[in-house]
Amino acid sequence: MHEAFCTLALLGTFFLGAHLHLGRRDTQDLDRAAMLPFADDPEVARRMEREIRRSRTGCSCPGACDGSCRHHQRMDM
Amino acid sequence: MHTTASSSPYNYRVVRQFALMTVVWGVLGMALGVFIAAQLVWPALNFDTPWLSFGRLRPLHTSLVIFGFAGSAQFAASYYTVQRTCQVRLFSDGLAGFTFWGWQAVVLILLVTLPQGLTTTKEYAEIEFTGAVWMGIVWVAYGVVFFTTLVQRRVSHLYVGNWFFGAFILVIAMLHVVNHLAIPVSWFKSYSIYAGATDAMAQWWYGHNAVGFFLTTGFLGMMYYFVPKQAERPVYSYRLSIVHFWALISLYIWAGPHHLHYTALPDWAQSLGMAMSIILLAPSWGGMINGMMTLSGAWHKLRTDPILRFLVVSLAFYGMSTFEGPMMAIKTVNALSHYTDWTIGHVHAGALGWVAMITFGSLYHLIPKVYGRERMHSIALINLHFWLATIGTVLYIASMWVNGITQGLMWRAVNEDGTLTYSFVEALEASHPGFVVRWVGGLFFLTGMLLMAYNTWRTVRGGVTESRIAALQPQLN
Repeated sequence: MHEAFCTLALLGTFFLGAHLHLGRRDTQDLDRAAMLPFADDPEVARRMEREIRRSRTGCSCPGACDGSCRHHQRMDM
Repeated sequence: MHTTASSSPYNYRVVRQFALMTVVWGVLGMALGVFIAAQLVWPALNFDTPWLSFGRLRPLHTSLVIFGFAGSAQFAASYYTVQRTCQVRLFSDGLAGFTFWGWQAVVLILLVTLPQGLTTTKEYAEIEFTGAVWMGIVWVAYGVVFFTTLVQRRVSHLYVGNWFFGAFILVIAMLHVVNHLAIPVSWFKSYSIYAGATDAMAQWWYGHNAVGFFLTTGFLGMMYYFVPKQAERPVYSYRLSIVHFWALISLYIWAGPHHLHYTALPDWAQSLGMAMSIILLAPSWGGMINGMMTLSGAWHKLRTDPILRFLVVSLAFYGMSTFEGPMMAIKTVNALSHYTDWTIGHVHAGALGWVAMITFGSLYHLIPKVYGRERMHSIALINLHFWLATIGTVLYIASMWVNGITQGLMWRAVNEDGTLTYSFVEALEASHPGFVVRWVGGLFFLTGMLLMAYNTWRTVRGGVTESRIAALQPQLN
């Protein structure tokens, strides 16, 4: 009885929390979120973009990124 | 060191204060650890003096390293990270300052009361009534500063590291209040409202979550910021980090009963603790893998960057401890390991290998930033510290494994007629070489800590270079 209650509480917390946290986010959102530690550090962010070829802004510009293109901030491409 | 806070958008003053005290309490707490390790090798070091006895100094050691060292590190790292990921200054310089002085007062209370034998006797919750109330007040202030800063953030998303810090703050508040519920009879003497097996359960629900939330969740928050920043790579999988968070906090809270196997605690609670501890392997390793794989494409940096080495090796020890823990939580394994030095070895694999090393890496990263320096005074000293810490940790763990298995087997050995094969003293004598090696390992680790203290002093002397901080800081809109 106790074990069943605890298991349900645990599973409920996990699934509800993960679903609410992730449910409304698409890949671009998550990509932008992952870049947050670099958002206030332009020098490191530029180095990182050059090395990993991904935009720190999570923009949808196709192809490899070096942070210098004019579509850097665009999400709609 | 005189600083002017107004020229920088972030409050780095309180970060500096906590960072320095992390180093100070680290030196004192670890030195005390080496001393009590020596007492087990040479019992004469108890000096027949109550306030110098192992029984009184051991909880002082755990309190100084957990609340002094790890606690100050958490404050420093969470205050630094929340500002930088929310791009907003910390809420209320005054209240943040209060948390600094208030927290140092908590550690001072422990320093003064524990050697006098003023203790609740609850492990990691030894602080007596008045100190516990004060700790609660400081913690509420911490929560207000942290969560208000989150509310005032200038970015829409809450970075995952802040979720870990937030959970750590909330859950520790709950654990502290519930476990410390007591009837006071004087300023520093109280009686727990719990008794018997109920008291044991409350204590080890608290005790395991002191490890699970104070020493893990908060430090994972640290990991999710400082590993990406030092490696100059975003976290490997942001989706995994969120799943890791929810799985960890759902599971950790139930693991406490694994400290009470084969005691008077009801069987259902023991089984629950065991099952949840084993399942806990999954989110723990998920987090470890997420942190490790963040170095994808950047592994070459380990050749030249000892700060990154600290961060990555801390994750390796985290993985090792979070595999070892669930194994020890299995009842049949626990029947051998409980009450032995294996438990101490496991604790220190986590405390030295994970907690201390992630703290070292994070502080070596943030100290130059908050003092306006290009880097720490000496990278060579950081490298030397890394090797001393790693060797010290390995010596510590290995000696305690050997001791633990030896003790477990000797204690359980029975003759054909059912009598014990070995007396307790014989097992203690067999443990002596392990005590010596453990002391040596601790000495290595402490030496590394002293190098860090010297390196930090050489870096920060001369005060804060505000112009350099301003140049390094963002132009917040």
